[in-house]
Amino acid sequence: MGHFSSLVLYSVLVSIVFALLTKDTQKERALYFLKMFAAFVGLSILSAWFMYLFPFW
Amino acid sequence: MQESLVYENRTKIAVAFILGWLIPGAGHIYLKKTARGVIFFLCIMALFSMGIFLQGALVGLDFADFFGFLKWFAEVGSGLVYLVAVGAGIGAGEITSFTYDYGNIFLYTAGLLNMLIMLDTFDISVGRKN
Repeated sequence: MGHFSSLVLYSVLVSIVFALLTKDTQKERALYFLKMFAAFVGLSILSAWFMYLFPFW
Repeated sequence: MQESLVYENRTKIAVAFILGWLIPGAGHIYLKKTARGVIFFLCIMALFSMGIFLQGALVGLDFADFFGFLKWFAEVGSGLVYLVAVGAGIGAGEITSFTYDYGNIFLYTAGLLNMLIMLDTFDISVGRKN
């Protein structure tokens, strides 16, 4: 398992649990899952590129 | 106005809570939320299994090390599977592996999410949530 596949798997599983815990209808859950998954992956990639600017730290 | 909760069936609340700790999702199944319980079980087991697969370490209880205690507290939330894995000597962890930290995060998350799931069974038991 590589870094990115681990991140994607982690994001999927955690997003599913939070969607089921916090929302009541199927539509709300699906939307929440998508938003949370996108936030996990998107922010991780953004953070990675941000760290790329500081290679010696 | 303060919300009034129904604590009439304390046995049901306690059984759901303890079942939910021992087997992730079992508390929901006991409360007849079967589909939700099965999905919780699969997600927590997947997180825990991946944690072991990625060379994460299962830690024992150690009061001398505060952060070690926090790690143990997070991992023990997974319930029976944690106890069985520790008993079987699984999860020694391989610190030189590049996935070691990933594995640990998977293991901590499995336990902590299961604690949230247990709190959810409490909310359902007292009628605060459907």
